[in-house]
Amino acid sequence: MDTEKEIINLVVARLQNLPSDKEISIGSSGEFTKDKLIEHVKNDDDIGRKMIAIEMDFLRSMKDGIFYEQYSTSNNA
Amino acid sequence: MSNTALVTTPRSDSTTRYISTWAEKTIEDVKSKSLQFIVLAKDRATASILESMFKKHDPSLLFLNGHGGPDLVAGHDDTILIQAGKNETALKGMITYALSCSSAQVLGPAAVKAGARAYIGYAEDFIFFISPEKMGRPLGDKTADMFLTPANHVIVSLAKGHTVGEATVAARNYFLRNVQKLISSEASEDDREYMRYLVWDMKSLVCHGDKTAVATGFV
Repeated sequence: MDTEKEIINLVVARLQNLPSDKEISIGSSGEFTKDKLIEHVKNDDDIGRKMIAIEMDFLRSMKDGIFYEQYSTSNNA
Repeated sequence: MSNTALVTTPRSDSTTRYISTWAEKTIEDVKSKSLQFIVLAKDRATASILESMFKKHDPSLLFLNGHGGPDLVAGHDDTILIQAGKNETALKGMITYALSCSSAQVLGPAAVKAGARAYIGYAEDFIFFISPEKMGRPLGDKTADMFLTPANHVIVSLAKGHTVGEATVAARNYFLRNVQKLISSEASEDDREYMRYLVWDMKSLVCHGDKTAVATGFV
């Protein structure tokens, strides 16, 4: 299996865990149910590629320890 | 420059209805003594009305809610309010916060180049979750709250007199705190799935221009 296919399968598996009773708003692209999102990822269209980008970015952020960092601010803004 | 903040709150679909309702709640809650908010709601969120309000009030802050793209932010019925290469000079002297998709990519830097004091916005699509059963009452939607309260914190912080840089950092930290809450054992498995989207919005929030600029303190 090539890497691209593996990534699509990974993202589909992650999206399966989204709650079925919610919709995701993606700006002017509209609102999508979990099932619709999965379709877009499988079709490898713009929305699908956006979902893949979000997943890949999240995995990199976890590797970088983003959960435990805090952006520095000089006061209680 | 005056202590006036103009706010556009179009409502042409579910997404704009949500972000506009939360924006109006935020400015209602802020009740800033140092900023007077003027809301251009629904069909008043148009380029011609906005430009006439610029001339009349010389606002220090502009809070745009609506759909967007790399070079633009839209208003009522997705008509263009501000677009790079067209009318970004209208933002001259102002601090703008755009709760809109990806306008910090091109419009933000173009506005600053044209004389805007600062431009805060999202470099990528702003993403959030909606509970369809709460469509008629967006403020009761706790899922949307996780995303829209941090996003609106930029305005809360600016209204308190904090700088553009501080307000941006404070909002990013608000997103991060919501992520950290979802890691805790008290969060439901469903809610934990929202983490990656909160991280996405947090990382996408950027500011251009003078990070030391403030929206308050004008006569």
